[in-house]
Amino acid sequence: MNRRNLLKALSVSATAGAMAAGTRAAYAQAGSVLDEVKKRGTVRVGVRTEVPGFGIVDDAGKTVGFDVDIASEIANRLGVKIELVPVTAATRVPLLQQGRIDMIVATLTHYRKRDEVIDFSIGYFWTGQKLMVKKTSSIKTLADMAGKRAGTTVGAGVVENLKRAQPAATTQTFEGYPESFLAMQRGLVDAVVADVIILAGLRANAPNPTDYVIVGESLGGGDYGIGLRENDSKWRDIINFTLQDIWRDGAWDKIYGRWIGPGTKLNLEKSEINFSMVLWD
Amino acid sequence: MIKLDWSILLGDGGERLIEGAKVTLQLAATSLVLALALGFLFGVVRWLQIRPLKPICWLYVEFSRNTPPLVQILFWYFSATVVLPEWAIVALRDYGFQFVAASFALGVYHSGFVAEIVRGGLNAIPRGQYEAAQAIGFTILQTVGSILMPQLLRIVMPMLTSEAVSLVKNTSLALAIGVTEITYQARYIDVYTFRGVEALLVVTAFYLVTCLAIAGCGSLLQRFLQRNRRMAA
Repeated sequence: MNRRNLLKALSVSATAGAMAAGTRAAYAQAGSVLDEVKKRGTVRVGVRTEVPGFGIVDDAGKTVGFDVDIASEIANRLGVKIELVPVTAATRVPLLQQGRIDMIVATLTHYRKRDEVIDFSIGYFWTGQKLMVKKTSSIKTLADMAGKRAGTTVGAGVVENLKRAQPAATTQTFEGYPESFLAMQRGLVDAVVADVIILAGLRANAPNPTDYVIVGESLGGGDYGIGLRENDSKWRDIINFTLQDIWRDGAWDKIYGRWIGPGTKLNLEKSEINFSMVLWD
Repeated sequence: MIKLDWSILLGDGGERLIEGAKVTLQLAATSLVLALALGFLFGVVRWLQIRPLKPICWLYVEFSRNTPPLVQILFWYFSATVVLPEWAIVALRDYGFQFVAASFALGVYHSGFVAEIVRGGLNAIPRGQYEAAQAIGFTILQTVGSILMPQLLRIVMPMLTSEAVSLVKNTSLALAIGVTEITYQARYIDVYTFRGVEALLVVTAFYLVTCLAIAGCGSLLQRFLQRNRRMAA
């Protein structure tokens, strides 16, 4: 095959691939996801598998956590079965856009910019973003971060927030939170910056949890929302109403107590996170 | 159908990708130089079969070839903290320590393959030439430099080219330790705008063009070496 033919063949196969992807997406967007889910009898939910307390693989190999229980509770109330799809910060949105999952319940913070591409449910959790350092560190506030180095993960929204709150700090990103925590333990970075709840989870799994402290004022951060496909208000309404029901009848508190509340590894009082859900009559 | 919006590539997004492309090329260049230097060294030494060095070279080549590049990047980056004192880490990390660790890891990883390519190439040259050179009083360096190397380059050039292409592709793994190369920048754009598809398309095109350019240079070089040979003969 000469060079020109090869190029032609390449471009033909690329176009075919793009068209196939396009058809699938178009098919997925016809009608509401709600109808699809009811017809299928299963809701496919994107969950994390490496965030302690929210979505993590337990000793038995099952994915468990706050997000997983919230998603299962929604599935129960919709009367469908649940299929968990592991996602990462980088894959969750493309998977939703391509119609391979029906919703994202994966520590997804609601930012306006993100809202241009997908829709969000009302918030079902809130956590500020702070720094975690070694107990022996001189860093006590955000001001102390000037000239220092913070580690976080590729795909975390916190990078821009830190830049805004403390422009003199450097941020270095890692593949996941455990690596950024390891880098902090090894002195490669001075602090880990992330959602408080994620920091608490990292600390809880460390050999000596008391060696690390969460410090500083919150950089911001937002509600965790359920990520839903753009422009599908029928689906979003039912998710919002179900979330509010879960909050009203106390199921939320039970799930919170199971994964985050006092006595769990994360061990956070409900007052410490200061969250209450938006409710409509 | 997902609608593409290329506007994110104007302004900040575009600058990020250009910055990332520079870092990718720098990383590829430094690790390629290291891979070639270490690869030729170990390849030649292995071929010479010097007794006491034999097991060391074998161990080096097998270690570098048979561990995943991502694992090596993480290994060199994090294990450096065990070897170096903390003040040295703090001093180094602001000068792109992660870049150095990634270059080193990729250089070592690919040097194993280069060493085997070089050794294979040397084996293809009749051993009699080497012995003849020794017999008329050439030193080892002279023998390697003026008799073996010119023939060797002709033999190994196509394989070295494909090794260089695979090295360029592997530079994307460096984002795991925070090297701000082009794949990292695409991820960054994705996080804040969720318009990762556009950025990834650009990044894909960048890798494709870079790798094709390397392959093209390799075949030009190969043609040049072949022509030289005809002239010499």
